[in-house]
Amino acid sequence: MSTERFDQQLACLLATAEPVPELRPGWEQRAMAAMAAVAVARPKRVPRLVTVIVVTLLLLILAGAVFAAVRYLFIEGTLSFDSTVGPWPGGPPGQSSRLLSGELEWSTEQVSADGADLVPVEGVPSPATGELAFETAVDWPPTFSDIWKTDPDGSEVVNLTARAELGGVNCYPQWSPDGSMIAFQHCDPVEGVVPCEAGFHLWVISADGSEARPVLPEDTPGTMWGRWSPDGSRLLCNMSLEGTDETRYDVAVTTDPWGTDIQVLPNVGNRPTWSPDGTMIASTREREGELDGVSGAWNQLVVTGADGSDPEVLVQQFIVDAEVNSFLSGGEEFLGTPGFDWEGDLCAWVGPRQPEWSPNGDRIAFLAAMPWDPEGPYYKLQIEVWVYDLNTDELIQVTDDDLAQTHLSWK
Amino acid sequence: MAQADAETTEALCEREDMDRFVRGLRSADPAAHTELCSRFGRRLHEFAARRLRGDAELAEDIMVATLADAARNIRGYNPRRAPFSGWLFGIAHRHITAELRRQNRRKSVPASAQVPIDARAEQPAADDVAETATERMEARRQVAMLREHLSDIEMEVLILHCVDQLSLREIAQIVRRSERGIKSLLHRARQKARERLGADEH
Repeated sequence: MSTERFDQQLACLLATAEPVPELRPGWEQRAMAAMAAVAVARPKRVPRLVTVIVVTLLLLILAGAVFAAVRYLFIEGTLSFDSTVGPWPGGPPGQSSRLLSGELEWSTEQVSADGADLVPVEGVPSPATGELAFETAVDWPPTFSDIWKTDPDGSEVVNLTARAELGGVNCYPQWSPDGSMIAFQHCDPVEGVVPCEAGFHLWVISADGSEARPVLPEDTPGTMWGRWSPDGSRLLCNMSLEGTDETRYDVAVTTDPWGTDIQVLPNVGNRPTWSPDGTMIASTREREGELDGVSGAWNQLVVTGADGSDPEVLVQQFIVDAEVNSFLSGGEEFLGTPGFDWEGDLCAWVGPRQPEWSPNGDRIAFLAAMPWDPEGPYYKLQIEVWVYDLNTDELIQVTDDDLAQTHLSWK
Repeated sequence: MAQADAETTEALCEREDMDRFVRGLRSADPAAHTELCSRFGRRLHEFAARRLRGDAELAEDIMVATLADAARNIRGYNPRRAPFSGWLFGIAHRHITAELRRQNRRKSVPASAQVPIDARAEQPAADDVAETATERMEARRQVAMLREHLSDIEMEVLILHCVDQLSLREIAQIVRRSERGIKSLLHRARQKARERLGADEH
């Protein structure tokens, strides 16, 4: 029997065993009514392209939120700094580096200096192009130095300040956020005067070295530092009104890069720096005061609004003039121990110094001196790295050794 | 050659006709709904009734629900993935499976399965009844025997192919298996059925 015939026979058998009843009259109307009802109730379909765009946007937003959350929770930035043995923090040789993870579990990595006369300071990458700006010094302390730039791979090295025919000492390059300009400190050579004592001024130079000019009026006694606001519209610096001594650069100002709109910032002290969102400024300052009836000065880490308003002291260290006491306080609690011997020349390194915001703006790293070990060598200057957590008001001591830490930076 | 060309032309016409029909359903055209009803209404009803032990009313409900579902979800139908009939009978199959599950959970006999007393008055004459009943009893015995020796899926594939007249591709869509697997299943089911029915005759 053929397959076809067998199939027919089987169909007949199955149909006989289970006969199919007739449909009731009016079934078509019922079916049509059901389909018509569905057609009326059917919502308008959103075009596929719109759906794809909406879903893509939602996924991007979700991914951004996850990235931000992960970054906030786990990647709070890497803090790096140099550690120096010697009375001149930041001077060569003997540099070493330490890395600090976002979780504040730090590890050490010693980087030996080459000891050469030419000391290339680590390049500062342009946020826009990735080019590196760096300075070179031919001796220490530097008598002449230039601002250079190079491609990230080390090619196309250009001496920007030489191209702009600018002599003297040029240092601390800072890229504008759009990469079009570099702010730096400039000191004109003065016969018979050590350059760095002749007074620094904040200058800007175009990224191709074609134009260089001072930011503040030329009769300003001195300007130090120089940090671009996150939107690149203003520069933040310290200005000296009286002399050129570094310790007197205690007036903080913001200005546009052309020096036409200068605003003096109340409550802001030394080495001011913008928060990553540009809404706050962290700096350190000194205020006279007393502790337990003893006169002295409070060295403070202070945070203000972008216009210097609403100052909040985060950390302070009490210094007794020529005495031996110093305390580091975090909130109400005093940390550290009294008994700090210090030399007058080194007083600039006592107390919170060089605040640096973490990338997400919830921590500030700074340097502060610890009590000196009277049994150690003279130059044993303990400058340690501390981190203040703005969310928890927690103060964390990151380093504890006999080195002087310098050059804080977050990545 | 000419015959092959004619077959190709016929296939193209069929495809164009189906494309037009599906477009009509997508735009909720009443004419397309009427066509859906006339093309598939009776077949769906038979398909359902056969699996619901002859419950005509329930089979009609399933048929109506299937047509309504098809009208509602026609935008989700992809002609490249399955023939329309396979997609439609797949919907009916899911409704029937759900209904059978519901019935299995019920403790009492459903009202739809009860025969009204006046329905008995419409029954044919006694001789016809006896003849038909004997035939049916014999057919049921043979089908029961087949069900005993064939697996559920083999029996289902056999019914879908022989009684519901569905292609291998349509059956594959309904029972969610590959076409090749269905072919193999059908071959095995036929072989077993032949053996059992042959042995039964002797």
